[in-house]
Amino acid sequence: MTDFFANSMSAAASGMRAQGHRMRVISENIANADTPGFHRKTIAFDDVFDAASGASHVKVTGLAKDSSPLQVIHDPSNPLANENGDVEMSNVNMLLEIADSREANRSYQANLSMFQQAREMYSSLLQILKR
Amino acid sequence: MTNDVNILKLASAMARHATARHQLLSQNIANADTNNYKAKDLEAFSDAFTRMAGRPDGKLDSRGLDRLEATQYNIETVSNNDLASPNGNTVSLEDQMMRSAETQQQFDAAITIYKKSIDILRSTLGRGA
Repeated sequence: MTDFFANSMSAAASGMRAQGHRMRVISENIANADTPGFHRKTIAFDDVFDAASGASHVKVTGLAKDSSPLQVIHDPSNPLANENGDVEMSNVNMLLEIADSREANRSYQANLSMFQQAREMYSSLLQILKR
Repeated sequence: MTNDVNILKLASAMARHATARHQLLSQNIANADTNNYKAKDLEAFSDAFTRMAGRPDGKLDSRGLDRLEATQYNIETVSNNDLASPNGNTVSLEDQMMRSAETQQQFDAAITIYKKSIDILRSTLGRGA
């Protein structure tokens, strides 16, 4: 029975790690929202099965560049401006990043509560031994 | 007296079912944002119980109880495809929270039954509860 708890906790921990990674990518995107020529990054998850423990985990499979067109602003005084006075800024959409970070936050919390629940169940199991 | 031992076996099978289910739910939540991941759940304990009983009256004899203890519960895919995200993921966090709360309740119930049965056994030995 204890290996179920261990698997529960390790699955939840892998979820928290993945969401943490996602948060990092979102922060990088937001930090670079005003960097000229910056393409926002996207993150992908995948389900991996660990045969040794019999549990499945979540893993970050890779980062990709969002290839949607960059936002072009007209600013002839900018040193990076082309002959028409246009500058290519980043393609970061703040609203999207904030919504994404909220979702990451919620998923993280859900994983955390699963972890806590597994711990509570385990400690109530130990209570039988303690009597 | 043998009934007391049977109820301990039953409670332990129920607790094991709850922990196995909890593992599955944790995996679902970890994969809440994975493309094309389908939410899974364990068959209900009562379903496994009737399956193992194999008797028309639905009662479980001690041999059935041994089978229940050794069984691998069936894993089912949750059918809420209408709630699927655009990336094909069918994990709904609210739904999973409900299920995990239910699982914890079942586990607590099993543990409490186990404890109380031991208390009863103790008091028959005259050691007080």
